[in-house]
Amino acid sequence: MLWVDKYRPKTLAQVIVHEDIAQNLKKLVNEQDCPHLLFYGPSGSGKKTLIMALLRQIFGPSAEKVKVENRNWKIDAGSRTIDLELTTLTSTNHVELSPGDAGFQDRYIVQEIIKELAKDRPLDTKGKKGFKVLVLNEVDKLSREAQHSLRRTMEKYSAYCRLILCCNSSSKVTEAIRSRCLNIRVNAPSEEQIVKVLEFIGKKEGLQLPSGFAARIAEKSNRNLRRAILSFETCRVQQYPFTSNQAIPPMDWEEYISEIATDIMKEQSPKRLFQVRGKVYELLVNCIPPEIVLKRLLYELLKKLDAELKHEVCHWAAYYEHRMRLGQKAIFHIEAFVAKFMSIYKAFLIATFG
Amino acid sequence: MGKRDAIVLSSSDDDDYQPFPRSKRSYEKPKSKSSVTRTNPGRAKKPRIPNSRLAKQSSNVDEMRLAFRDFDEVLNGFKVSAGSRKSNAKELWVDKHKPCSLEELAVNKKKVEEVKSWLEERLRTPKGEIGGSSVLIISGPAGVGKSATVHVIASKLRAQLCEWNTPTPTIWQEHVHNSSAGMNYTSKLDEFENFVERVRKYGLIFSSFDGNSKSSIILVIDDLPVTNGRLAFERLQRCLVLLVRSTRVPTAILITDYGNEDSSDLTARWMEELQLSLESAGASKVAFNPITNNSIKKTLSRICKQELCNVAAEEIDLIAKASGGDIRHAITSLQLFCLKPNTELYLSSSNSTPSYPRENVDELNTSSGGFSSQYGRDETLTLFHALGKFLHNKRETENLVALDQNAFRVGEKFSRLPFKMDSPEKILCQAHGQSRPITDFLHENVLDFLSDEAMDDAWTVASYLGDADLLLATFRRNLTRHSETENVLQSAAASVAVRGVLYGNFHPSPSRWHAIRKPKLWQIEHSLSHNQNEMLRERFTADVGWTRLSEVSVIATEYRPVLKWVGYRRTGDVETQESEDDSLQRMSLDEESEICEEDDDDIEDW
Amino acid sequence: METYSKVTRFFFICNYISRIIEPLASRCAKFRFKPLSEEIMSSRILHICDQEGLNLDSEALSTLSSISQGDLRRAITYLQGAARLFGSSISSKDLISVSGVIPQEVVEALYATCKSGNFDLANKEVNNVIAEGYPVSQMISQLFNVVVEADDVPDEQKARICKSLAEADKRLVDGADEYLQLLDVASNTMRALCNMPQEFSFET
Repeated sequence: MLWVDKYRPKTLAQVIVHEDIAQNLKKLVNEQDCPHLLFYGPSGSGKKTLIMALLRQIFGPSAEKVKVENRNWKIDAGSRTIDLELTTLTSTNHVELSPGDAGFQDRYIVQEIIKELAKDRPLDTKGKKGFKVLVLNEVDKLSREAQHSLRRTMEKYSAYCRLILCCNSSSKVTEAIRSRCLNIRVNAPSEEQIVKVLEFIGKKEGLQLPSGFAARIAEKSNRNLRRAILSFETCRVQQYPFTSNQAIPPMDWEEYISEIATDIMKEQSPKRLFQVRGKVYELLVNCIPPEIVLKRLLYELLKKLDAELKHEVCHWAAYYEHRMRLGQKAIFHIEAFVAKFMSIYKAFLIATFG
Repeated sequence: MGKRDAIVLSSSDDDDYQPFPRSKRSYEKPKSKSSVTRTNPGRAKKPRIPNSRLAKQSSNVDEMRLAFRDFDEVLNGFKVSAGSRKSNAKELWVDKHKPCSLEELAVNKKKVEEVKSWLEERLRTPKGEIGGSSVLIISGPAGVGKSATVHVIASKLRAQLCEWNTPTPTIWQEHVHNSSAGMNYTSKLDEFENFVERVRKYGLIFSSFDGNSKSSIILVIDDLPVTNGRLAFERLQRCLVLLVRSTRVPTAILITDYGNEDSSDLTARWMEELQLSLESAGASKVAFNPITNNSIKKTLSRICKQELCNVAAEEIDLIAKASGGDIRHAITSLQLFCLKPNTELYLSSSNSTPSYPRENVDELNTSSGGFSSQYGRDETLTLFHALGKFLHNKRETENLVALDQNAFRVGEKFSRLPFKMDSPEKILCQAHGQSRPITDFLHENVLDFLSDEAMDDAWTVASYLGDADLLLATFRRNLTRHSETENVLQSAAASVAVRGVLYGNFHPSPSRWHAIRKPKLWQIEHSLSHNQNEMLRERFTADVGWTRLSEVSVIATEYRPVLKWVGYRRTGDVETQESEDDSLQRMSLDEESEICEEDDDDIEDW
Repeated sequence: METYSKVTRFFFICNYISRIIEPLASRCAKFRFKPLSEEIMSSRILHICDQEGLNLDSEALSTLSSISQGDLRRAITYLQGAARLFGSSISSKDLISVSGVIPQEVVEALYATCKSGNFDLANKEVNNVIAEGYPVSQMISQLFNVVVEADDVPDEQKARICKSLAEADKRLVDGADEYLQLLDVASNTMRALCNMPQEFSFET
């Protein structure tokens, strides 16, 4: 098992990083009435961990006995029936799913599936905790329509079930949903906290950590705890005992993007643009989300630029990322950004060096 | 010969009329009369009289009647005038002046020679001794002389022609009548299958009906039966492939390339598929190109001389141009033109009749080519042809159009020289391109056509293509709402993409030969969704032990790179899958580009 | 409406009168509700605190009225959320964390880096905001307040900044990436504040 999973805190008491939030959640559960919750924060900050621990706090160890179900749903949407396949994780008391997986049919997922699950009231003889918990991942990826119907479903079935929503950016969740949930911001752990976690794992694994090594991993992780732990483990596999100046292997796709950036800086021509396109395709095929490609590319380019150009370049990155979101084919817009950059940079070179 | 006449009357034009079985009567009579007297039905299958399309398209009955009256007048005129001139009056010129010798054929000599030598070879050598199948596919657009070529060659080689023509489709009333009379309905496809079966098994029997064992036989399958639906198509395909594999009679299959005209994309694709499968079964293939203007003009002048008509050279030129390489259409137009003593009158009257949709678009451009709506065969272009036009971006060398005083002047930087082609929208319309593929194709190929220095141009183009993508995405989002908005959006998007490419490509690279590639984007999307599904499925794999629903992006960007290092996963499982896919795709890509290259040749020809 | 005016009276409730069509609006008598004044709000809040046994100091009270912007329902929702999470004794910080409002220091810090004219500094601050998980749309609206209230910024610069804020807000609604948008805003603000050329061109 990967360390990320092995050392994931199982209960709220074990949580190291977000102790304050964990304490509050504990309080929340102790009072019987649990409101709908919305967890938001950047990737790798520990949202899911907190949610799992919270479920355990509510339902006890039975919350951990989950089974994976790949269910086919037949949804009657007026004139046609829609077949959907969706993976859910279920325990006796909770169901977890990522409605965003259903793509543009997410609306139906939210409407129908949640309705069905919510109706399926848990049979608890003691009459205690007579509600089920639905965990919805990636709520921010839901379309507007889906969010609206989620809101209605929430109101309608709030007597039988509680929702725990999880997303990266709460800006993309409608006000209507946000106001109906208790919002819990999970910030990314600071580098010191990450170092603490790494040292904790190191101790458990019986590893010798040279001083400053954990700090370097933390620095490279961009305050993403999951990433930090993953690269920590990679380092372990690569070379042990650690040396304090050991190279921390970068993610392969990041290296690839940095290569692309170098290509772009070296030559600006339609031909080069075409080569860049090929490389971007390569990334996309490997499921690297286009916005991450664009962001990383911007990051790499900014590193190499003079200050005066940075404003211009970041403006165009924002511009094309937005259009990418509205459009259908990401490559068109990534390419437009690269073309714009090349065009700016070439003009800049000519103006500066003649 | 008697037998051959029995197979008669066929063809797609009849299909066209079908929707209005009753109201068409008024003009059906003269037409059927004329076709009965045809000596060679196969040759004159499709008299393309432009007006007949009026009937097909307009739904309003009154308008239609009007159109028919018009049509009748024309036909009556035709009978009278033609009758006064020649004894054999009722014959269409297309039949009357069909080529009798190889010299008269307007088809490219090289192609004719190719067909001829092929047939000669098959006929000379005893059956089964030559390698390869004895099936030849001749493909090409309508009216380029496919059947004529075969006929002329056959008569030259003194070979007997045995033809299959698709029988007339059974009309419902007819079916009712037949079934009450106790006749069973057999599907046309069944008939065809039976026919092919017979040929395969008893191929030699055909020689016996003539009694003349010396003359050799050539089987001609002119026009495949229309298939409806995938199943029927597959049957047809199977049956033909069998024929290709086993027949010993030299067989020519004539396939009309509809381009995109008159057939939805789907059937066009089936036809391609069919040809490919036949070729892979061993059939040889000759593709006919549209006939050149000059040959058409020569033929037309010859006919004029024979018919004693005085037609100005410019008129012939116009007709030839408007025919778009369809010689049959050109001759019909000429006949139509000649029988009207007062041409002006006819033209104006034809303009007053309701015009059919496609022409509407053309009318926008009547100023540029005034003749098109009169003689205009509905010119169609292949997708590749259109793309070639857009990508090569041919423009005049200087701006000849004087700007009038009030015209809005654009800055030097933004002005472009006038096109050396029709307006892009017209070309789009002719190519029947759907906006998404057009945009994708342009995106894939446009960079090749930019000068290497022109980075700004590349950005302009990329940005416009992005605009087109946005429009298309809006279209998809509103999919369920209004079909009309969809259409507008679609064509707007295509227009933005095309014009963006044309405008942006200010400094085209020096003209050289480029193959047009199929958008790689399509494969990318395909394998992306494949990988994504794979990943979604694998996120629960037991040996990794994730019991959580992780986002795809997290798996792709964080877990997988690490797993590669750590080697937890059964290594290479997904990877090999991918590389297999890759190689597969690369293969298919190669094939595709070969096809494209051929098409590209055509572009150069034009 | 006119047909049944004899037997029925209509009451319409809306947020913006300008979004009601003129013919409809002209047939109604209009009652305008202003945001509740601070006194009314606080008296009501204190009443609730009293009933629920909550402990609210004066700083928390003023924070609550400022973050709820005269919206009593919102104020009560925040109060309830804070009470659930943090128990009966509620501080101003608790309220802010529940409301999703960004602490003023964070906004000020970002604004300060924009003033400094150093792009990399601003970039770092933007990264920090994102890592802390603050909603960018909220950040933009709070930044807007800061910019509008700033005394030392000429109107033209304010206009330039507001334009970029508006653009970013629209893009966020469309689902654009938060980091890129905030970075764009920061860069535009910086250019406006430090009088750098807005458009960047090397055209000769």
